[in-house]
Amino acid sequence: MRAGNCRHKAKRRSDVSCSGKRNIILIKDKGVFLRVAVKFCGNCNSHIDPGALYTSLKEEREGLIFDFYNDKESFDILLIINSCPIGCATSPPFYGHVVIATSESVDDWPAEKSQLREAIWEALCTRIKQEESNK
Amino acid sequence: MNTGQDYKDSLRNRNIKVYLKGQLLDSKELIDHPFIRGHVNSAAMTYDLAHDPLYEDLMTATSHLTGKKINRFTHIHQGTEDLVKKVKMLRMISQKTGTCYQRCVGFDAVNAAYTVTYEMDKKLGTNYHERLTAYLKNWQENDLMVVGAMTDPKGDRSLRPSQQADPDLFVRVVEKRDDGIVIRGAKMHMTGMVNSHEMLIMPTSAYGEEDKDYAVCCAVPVDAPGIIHIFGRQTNDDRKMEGEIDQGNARFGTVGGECLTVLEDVFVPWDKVFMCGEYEYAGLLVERFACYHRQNYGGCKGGVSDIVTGATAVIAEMSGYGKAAHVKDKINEMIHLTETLYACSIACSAEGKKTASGAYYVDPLLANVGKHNVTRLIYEIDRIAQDVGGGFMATMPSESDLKSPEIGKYVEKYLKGVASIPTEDRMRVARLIENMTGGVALVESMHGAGSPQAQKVMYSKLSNLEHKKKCALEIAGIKPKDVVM
Repeated sequence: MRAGNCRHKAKRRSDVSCSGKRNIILIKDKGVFLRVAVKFCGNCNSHIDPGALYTSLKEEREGLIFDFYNDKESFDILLIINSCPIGCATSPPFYGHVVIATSESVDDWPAEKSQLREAIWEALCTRIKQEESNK
Repeated sequence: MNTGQDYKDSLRNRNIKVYLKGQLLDSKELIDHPFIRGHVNSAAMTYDLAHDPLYEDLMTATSHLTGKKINRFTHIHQGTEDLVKKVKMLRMISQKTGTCYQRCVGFDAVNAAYTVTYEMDKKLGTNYHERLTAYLKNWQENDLMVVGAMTDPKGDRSLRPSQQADPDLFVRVVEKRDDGIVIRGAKMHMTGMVNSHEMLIMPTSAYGEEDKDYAVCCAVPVDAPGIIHIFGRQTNDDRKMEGEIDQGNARFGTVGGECLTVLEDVFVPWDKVFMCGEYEYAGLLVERFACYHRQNYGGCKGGVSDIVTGATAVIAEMSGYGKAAHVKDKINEMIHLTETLYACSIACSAEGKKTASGAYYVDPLLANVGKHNVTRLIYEIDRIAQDVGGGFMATMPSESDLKSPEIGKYVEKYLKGVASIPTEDRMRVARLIENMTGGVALVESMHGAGSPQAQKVMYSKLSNLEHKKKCALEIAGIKPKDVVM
């Protein structure tokens, strides 16, 4: 299992910061990208459109690379998107940062569906800040 | 893992003999036949969804044999989480097909056989489990569609197999050779058989020693010499020879495409024989299979009922009474009934337990209660759908009339509901409800995975009635020793 091994770890810690105001991650050095693995629950009871959420996350945020989770590649962050409030998606072994979203929450904090995307970004920012403060 | 297209291509390589309305179909082209292609499309969905990241958490699993990622339909349950995910997977796929996708039968058959062969080998010193495991590895590696084949014709139900006037009314071993066995008989109601690669044959009930030749579990290709399939008719199936609208669900069809499979002296090599004469384990295999299969129904029928509920709400809106209080109340009732079905399937999975083989098995009582509910609640769900949908779905003109240059304008004009909704759309939804709430769809809910009485007979065995009596006596202030029963 190689997931969670940050390929750019040393450089990333010093180059990433978050704008708390707009919840947008800024990559100071455009040559550095964080890789976010996205995993879905399986969608037996879709309260949200997880595919559309994924697309919107992918389109609007510069500096991050979103891809579907697989256990063959290395990722910096694992984002698990559950389509209903249950949140039953399997969490694979992962040694990096993990953000878990349901249709009504992000990391167990309530989130309106209309605000879900921003709440996910806030959680991603929090993870990165945590890592920066740990260095 | 294969894609849906891989699966379809592989079906063309079989030399299968399928008769439909008295005619032998071309084995290379039968999957394109209007009576069959919907069932193939539906089964293909079980392959395609396994490659979609949105669904793979439910659709795939890790093989306990090889460590490889496999299609869940080829998996042996390794925990209650697997059992729960199975139910959720079935509900999700049903929401995409609106009908049966057939692949659960073989899935349940191999899980049942896996647990039983392990226990049989430990007790009797046979090596069936090793054979089955080798067979399963190939199944997983090639992502096969294997149909579970249990139900025999059964003839006179008051007689045991060996007492029947015709001994072939239950599948039996007619010859044992050095290299394998020869079987004869037939299997009824074979869902997905004509679009599978192999069949996993199981006994149809518990047997005594006098019927040990009927205690046989084995696998054979669906196109093995000596096998013919006679495809079953369905309600309104001639509509499949016409356009699309009148079929209701033209892409995926209705139920699973069942057939009568005749086994006329079919040879099975020993490495594909997993029970041969061990009559004392026949009943256990039947029970395990039945419970795994009954687990499914709150999942698959839950998903099908999601479609029926959605279609009912839509037809009400298209007809202008979607906001009526009684309609909303009826839709809520449909939701209540659907989730009741689903709850039993989730419950029997969450309460599953580990067997000696390591595979997990559902709670049998809750699985039976769930399937028993399906024999009742689906009828109620469908009754409400027909109530809200209106009589026109049973009386309206055909797609050909709608598209007729002469009379199409009248169909368009007089079948209109809410002015902004195209008449064709309203007709499509009405035909979908008609297709999903009548004919073979209802009969399948009644008898698929066993008729209601088959579930009821399990209750006295599994429900611990003595405990209930003891509780009652205690509350009533009666000491059990004072009561003679």
